Amino acid sequence: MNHTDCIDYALGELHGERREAFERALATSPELQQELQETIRFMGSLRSVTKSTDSLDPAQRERLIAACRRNITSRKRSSKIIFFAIPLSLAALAVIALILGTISSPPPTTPAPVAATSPDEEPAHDEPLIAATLPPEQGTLPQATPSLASHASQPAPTHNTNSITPLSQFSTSIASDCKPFDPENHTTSLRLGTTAPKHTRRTSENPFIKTSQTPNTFVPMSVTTDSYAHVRREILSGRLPDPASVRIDELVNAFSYPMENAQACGPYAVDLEAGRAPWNRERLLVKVGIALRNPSEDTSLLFKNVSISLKFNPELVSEYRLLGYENQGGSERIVNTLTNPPLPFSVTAIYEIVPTQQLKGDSSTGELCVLTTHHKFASDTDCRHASLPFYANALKLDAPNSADFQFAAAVVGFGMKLARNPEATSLDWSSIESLAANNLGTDATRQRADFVDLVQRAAQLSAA
Amino acid sequence: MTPEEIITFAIERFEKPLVSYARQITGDLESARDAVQETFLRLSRQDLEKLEPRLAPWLYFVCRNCALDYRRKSGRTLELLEEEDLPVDLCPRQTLIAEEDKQKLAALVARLPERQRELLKLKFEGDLSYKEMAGIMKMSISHIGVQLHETIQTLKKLWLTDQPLPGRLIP
Repeated sequence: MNHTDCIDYALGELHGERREAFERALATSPELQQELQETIRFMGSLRSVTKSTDSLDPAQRERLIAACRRNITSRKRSSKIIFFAIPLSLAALAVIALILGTISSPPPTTPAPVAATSPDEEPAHDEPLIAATLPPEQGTLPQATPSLASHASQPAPTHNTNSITPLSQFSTSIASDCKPFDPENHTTSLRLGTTAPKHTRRTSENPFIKTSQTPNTFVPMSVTTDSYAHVRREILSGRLPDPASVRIDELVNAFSYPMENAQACGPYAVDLEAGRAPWNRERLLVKVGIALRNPSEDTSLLFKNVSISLKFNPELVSEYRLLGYENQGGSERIVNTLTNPPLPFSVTAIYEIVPTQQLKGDSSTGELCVLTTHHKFASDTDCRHASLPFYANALKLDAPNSADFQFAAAVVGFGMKLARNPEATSLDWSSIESLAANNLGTDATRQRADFVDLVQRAAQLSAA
Repeated sequence: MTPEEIITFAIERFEKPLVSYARQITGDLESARDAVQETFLRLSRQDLEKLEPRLAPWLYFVCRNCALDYRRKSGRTLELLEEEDLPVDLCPRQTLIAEEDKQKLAALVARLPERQRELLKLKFEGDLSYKEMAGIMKMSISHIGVQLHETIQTLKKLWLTDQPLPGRLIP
């Protein structure tokens, strides 16, 4: 019996026959019993001197716990989508196989249809699926622990030595973690082209989302204005546009908003404002204006990718929906990461929310929502974040909103009218016109005045 | 446990041991905290229910890699504290003997090479098995055992004798 067996026994590391032999010897040897006692006592002392006193900073811990919880929530959501997406993908493959099988003789002269869905539907973005192709993160144990690395679902054992951006170097606080995506394999959320011209595609409104179930959403980062150009052309040609060609987001983003009350949030300027929806006084609109500028000429500080998330507070917001951006698969699945964004970059997104009773009350306080920005510079391996809360007591429900907000609300209302949205039935053309006309702002380019003219023409065409 | 309970438990149970462990590698508290924060954030992106049975080795493994990255970045070659930074075993006479003994042992531990101190942390704070430690430190299980035996025996011998503290301990 040697000293090492005694140590291993005290540490619980003596197994099998060696352990049995040690216990037999222990039963008959007072010296061994004394040595074991001494060893155990010594280890107790060793344990107490190796005990840690260092800890995280309390504020850092709090932020960490919140960020971890957010990650868990978004992971759960992704898994749900994967759960449904995999069987669907398999089904789609089966359909393709079937089609190929039936047309294999004679050989096909045209390519087989790729999907059985309507060709005028945009391909759904598959952001959650990207998670399945992520490179393995640090954390897969090396081969020395085969039982630990044997899970088939675990990534291959690697030791990722990618450098990590020290979180203490961040100029902004950690508020949420990067969503699980691989930026290098990620495309922008710009709509994918199909053979059908965009303005003839069928649109359907985004449904309201229950905040208690899904408080987080990503702010779309794509900006196109084709629909406004089309709508304008049609109206100036003397006809109302096809309702299906009207895209509210493209109308809203056809105008520039000076964002005079914007606040800094990381490298972004963020302008958050809420007010009543012109078509339904019980609903609120939240206007999210984002502008991104490069903080430096240094090429290592060029943005690799950027995204923005918004978390609504279920205590104040019962339901919400993004206006426009239809056919991107619903806000849960919108891919909103912009890779190598052109600079300067700006986007305006409008959310319609159903307030809770608490928010309707006069004394509502707390955060209506929290906006979190995510970005990576070219030299970063990890995502940087910053957060900006939007407090309910900043809401001016019955006070006048900014000219930008009201003009944007008029544009949304105009889009809803043209799209024959039943919700906008009670909204008449003249109120849209006056809402826009009273909120032209500086309008140096006379773009807003042109819009007012367009509303008048649409009203006449509609009456005819 | 639900994923939320697992993450709460993990932070409660491993925050301090991991910060202390990372600090031993990075050499400073701030980057140790960053490494630990990064570790927990990575943990929150994992399938926690699946990971739960091997939570401790996973955390130490990831934390070690994060801390080593910080160390590489800072260019620090940290083997041990400077001679003058080593704690001394002198303590005021009025303190309890047990406390005096503890201080002596802490002073001895501080004189160990980095790897040996790391082994002690993993074993006594992380409660990890030799097998789990081998996975983290990329050493064979038997080598872990040999190194730990030598470390413990050397410390025990010096602790129990009245010999003055050596400058460095190389078990």
